Amino acid sequence: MGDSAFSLPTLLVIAPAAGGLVAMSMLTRRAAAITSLLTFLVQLALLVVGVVQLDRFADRAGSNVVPSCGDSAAREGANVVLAQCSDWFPQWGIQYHVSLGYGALGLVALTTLVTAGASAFSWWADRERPAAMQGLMWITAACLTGLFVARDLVLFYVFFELMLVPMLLLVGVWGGAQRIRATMTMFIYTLLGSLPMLVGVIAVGIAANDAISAGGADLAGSSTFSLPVLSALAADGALHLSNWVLVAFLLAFAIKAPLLPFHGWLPLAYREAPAEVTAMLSGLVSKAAFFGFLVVVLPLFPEQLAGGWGTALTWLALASLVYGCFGAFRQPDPRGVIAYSSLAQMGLIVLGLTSFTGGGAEQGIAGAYLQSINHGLVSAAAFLFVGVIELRTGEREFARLGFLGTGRARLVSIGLVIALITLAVPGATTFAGELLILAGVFRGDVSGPLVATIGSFAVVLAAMYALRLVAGLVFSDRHTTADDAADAHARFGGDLGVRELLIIGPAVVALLVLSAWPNLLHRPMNQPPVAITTPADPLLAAAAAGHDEHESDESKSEDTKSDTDAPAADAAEEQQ
Amino acid sequence: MIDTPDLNWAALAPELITGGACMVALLVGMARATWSRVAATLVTALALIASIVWTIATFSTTHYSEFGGQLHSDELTNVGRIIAALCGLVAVALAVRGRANDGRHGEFHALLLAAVTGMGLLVASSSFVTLFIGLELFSIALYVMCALDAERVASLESGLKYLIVGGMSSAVLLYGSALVYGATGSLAYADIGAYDGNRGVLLYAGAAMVLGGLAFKVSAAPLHWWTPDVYEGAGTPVTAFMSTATKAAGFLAMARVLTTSFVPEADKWMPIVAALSVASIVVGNLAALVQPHLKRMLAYSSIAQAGYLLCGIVAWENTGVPALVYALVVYSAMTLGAFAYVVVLEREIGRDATFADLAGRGWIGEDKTMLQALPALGVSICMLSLAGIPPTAGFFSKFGLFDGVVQSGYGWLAVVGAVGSVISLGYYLRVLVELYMRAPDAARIAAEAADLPAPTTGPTRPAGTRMPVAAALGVALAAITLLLAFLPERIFDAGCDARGELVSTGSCTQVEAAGDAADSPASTTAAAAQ
Repeated sequence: MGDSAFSLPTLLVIAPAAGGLVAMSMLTRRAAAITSLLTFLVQLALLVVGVVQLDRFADRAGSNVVPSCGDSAAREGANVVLAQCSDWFPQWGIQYHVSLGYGALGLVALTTLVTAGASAFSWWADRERPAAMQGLMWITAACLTGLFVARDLVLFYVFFELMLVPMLLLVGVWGGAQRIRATMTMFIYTLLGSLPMLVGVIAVGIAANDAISAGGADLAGSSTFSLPVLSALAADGALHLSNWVLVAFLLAFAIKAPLLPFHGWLPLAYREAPAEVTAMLSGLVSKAAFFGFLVVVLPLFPEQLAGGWGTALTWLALASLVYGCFGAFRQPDPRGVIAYSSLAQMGLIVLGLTSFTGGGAEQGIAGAYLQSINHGLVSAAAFLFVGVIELRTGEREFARLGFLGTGRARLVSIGLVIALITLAVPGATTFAGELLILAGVFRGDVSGPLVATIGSFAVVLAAMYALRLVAGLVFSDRHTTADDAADAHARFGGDLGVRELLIIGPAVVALLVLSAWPNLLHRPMNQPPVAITTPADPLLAAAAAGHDEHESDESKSEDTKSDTDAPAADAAEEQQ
Repeated sequence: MIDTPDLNWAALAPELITGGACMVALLVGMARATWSRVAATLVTALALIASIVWTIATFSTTHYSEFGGQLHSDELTNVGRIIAALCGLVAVALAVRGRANDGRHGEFHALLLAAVTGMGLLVASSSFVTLFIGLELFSIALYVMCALDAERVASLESGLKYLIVGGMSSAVLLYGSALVYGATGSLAYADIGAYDGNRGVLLYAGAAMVLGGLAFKVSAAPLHWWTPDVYEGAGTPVTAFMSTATKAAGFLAMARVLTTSFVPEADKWMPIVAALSVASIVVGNLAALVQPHLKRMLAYSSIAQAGYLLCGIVAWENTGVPALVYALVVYSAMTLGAFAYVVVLEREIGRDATFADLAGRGWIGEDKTMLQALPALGVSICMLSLAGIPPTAGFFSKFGLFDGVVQSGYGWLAVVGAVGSVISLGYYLRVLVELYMRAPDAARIAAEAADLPAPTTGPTRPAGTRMPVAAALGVALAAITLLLAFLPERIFDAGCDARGELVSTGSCTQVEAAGDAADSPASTTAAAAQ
């Protein structure tokens, strides 16, 4: 019972995957680069179509969704452009279920932009085996896109895991001297989280099966892994999941993000990977964890999170924020600074999510979403910026770098913009994000004023490392101990050229646009992919609406219906 | 007047085809002409294909209690027959041009057909007599096949070792069925299951010995110790066949015996099977981590995989058996794909392949075209599938098995399996690391080239023009491993139907009712009955 047409979310996954495969089979560097460029343009065009479609259907709530595969009545008049659903493993209730909402659209756009920058960087840096490298980057982008549009928990898991394979090759093949150690550490850390999560996914499916069979026919025929259905069930308190299932999910996402005690793979991977791969790791792959927290952990475990687990997550996130800030300040190399600042930023983003109960939920989650996009752009830009410096000078440590800005206006401008946005000066989009997060956290039930206060102090710490980063590279030689810093300066050559500007530029421009107009993400911010307390997402709204309607119908007719009629009616409905 | 049972030869047709072809292959192989090797290969391949075609054509035909209650042929049986014959076909293709059947092609092909026949008989058995005959038929054939590469001491050692410990396990199984007969007075599975007299210690002991004998054949720990030496010593096509077909036949027979004869004892054997599963997962995965030789690594990996497959038996009350059937098909495809690459590699370097031999082989280079880089990509996919990374079929087979055990209340077993999978990445990924991330050790290769002046295979072909059969087969099997993730339903249904006939509770239909809107009348009734 699948949709015959290819829907937009499917195309958004297929385009980079196909582009990646074609790029991989190209024989020359130029052909690979052209394929990459074409992939980027196709993806951009698809995103524009997505924006147009979403705007067209924005007023008609529920018309652009497929609530569940089995429910043919709800599919009447559904927009097959924005959503698609068909059975995959009907025996296990697994579906191919994707849909594109504003929230997913923003993250897919981020993925497209950063991947394009990274693949352009690898072309500029003239890496060995350019075709394979650019191809793998686009395949990673396809996996991330799939993850952002997936509305089935198993499909989400499939993309979450699959993403590791191209990442593994990107770090392991093109990385530095310790690349294999970095690869294995990263891979085993991640899988230590995600394979228990597989057992958690299975447990969720079984719990949903029980809830569906207990809940009567209004949800019969729905997939046991459909995220909207699961969210609706959990919101009704019908989904009973034990604590270890939550732990399995938390662990997987906390490792992927990473949050504090699970960040062991981060410094090694971020240092050993090529700069453009690190840009993708920190800018995009960490967002998979954010998305997991947003669409899986928060909607499925409302009871546990309102209790002790939410508090634990809050303090974990806060600890990551503080630790990351101090860690970033102490690193001897620019990459270390950005790596630890990523840890801090992911802590801040997750902190925003923990405001999900209480008055600040809307602000906190909107802030976390905005900050994810911001962090994706700014960390990718920073890693590419540092990558350019590393490649031009051949140096990777502050001790051998300094005063690079002298006589290079473009380098100074880009560096300064990145640093100012990182430290969230008022007016920058990151400031908007942090403000929203802290405001949400302040009013949150499990977080509260104390957490918000500590968090706001930690945010100030960002100024220290951001300034140290840009000052150490561009303005001063305070950290420089070696005599040959002057050599590095000479080796850097002329100011940033057109190609370097084209590589770093788009992310910086996007950040400036967002700073001038943070409302651009207004709708995504108010419509997170799967809403937490109120079903703001059209997809969930429809599912919940159908659910509520049925319930109200039942309550109306309760008086007239005898008890014996109900099971017969259910069976009749099933037979249809 | 002797009462002869009504013989329904159709129930035995696939075995008759392969058994008959076994004689023909032996005769053809005796001819010393140059065509005899080709002819033996063709006879074997045609017989296997004929057997597969027959089995598929009559897939849903069921025969109960044929040959006086000795045979039982249904979809589960047919799945086993098809897996065994397909694995045999792959082994035949892998042995083309190989050393495994040099000068002994008649014996090699005849024994292979005998083994396939025995496996078919084993999965079709409905009494302990046919179980033992089938088991011995394929085991004895395999003992000889292991030793067939007689120039290598390791091969002789492999055959002898397998013979001695295999004979012991057969004796244990035979003694176990004797005890079961003593306790219940019957050898037919159904009669044993229906026996309502004293099901006491005698029966428990018999059941435990039968389980032990079968666990030995599927190399589940702690009855696994023969596996690495035997797998390493045997010629690689033989190892490929042995590690896949034997496992499929053994597991299907185990599922049949345990879920028909020993249903009342399920609460006793389920924890034992779960313990075997944990032991296999732990031992297999940890030991595989430190193996330098690819075949040894794959041997320990097969022990670990046996541990995952045992989960399907533990979950027999739920969707375990269908998941087991699907997992067996997937396991066969990905393991054969891995062995196919080992065959390619061994022919290229002329000795047993180690991890170090893989270094840098994944890339297209001056001496490698894209076509020649494909086999490395194929083996990478097989390794990812063995490790259970989505979207390969290996992921879904693990999903099904773990889903079953969680439903059966053995959630901790799924956790052990998941942790085992993490450990397994240590060695499965090592293949990818060597293929793509390390450069070949030039000094070592030069030293070896000096030691081995003559290449073992024929004249070298110009680079990039042709792909050996084994390499093409490996790529095809990797593609199948990917495809199986998208075409699972027929296989799954086969296990489901077979499972439905084995025991009375129809768990499959319940799952269908929950998973999908009711199309089949069975699930509607199940839902309405609730």
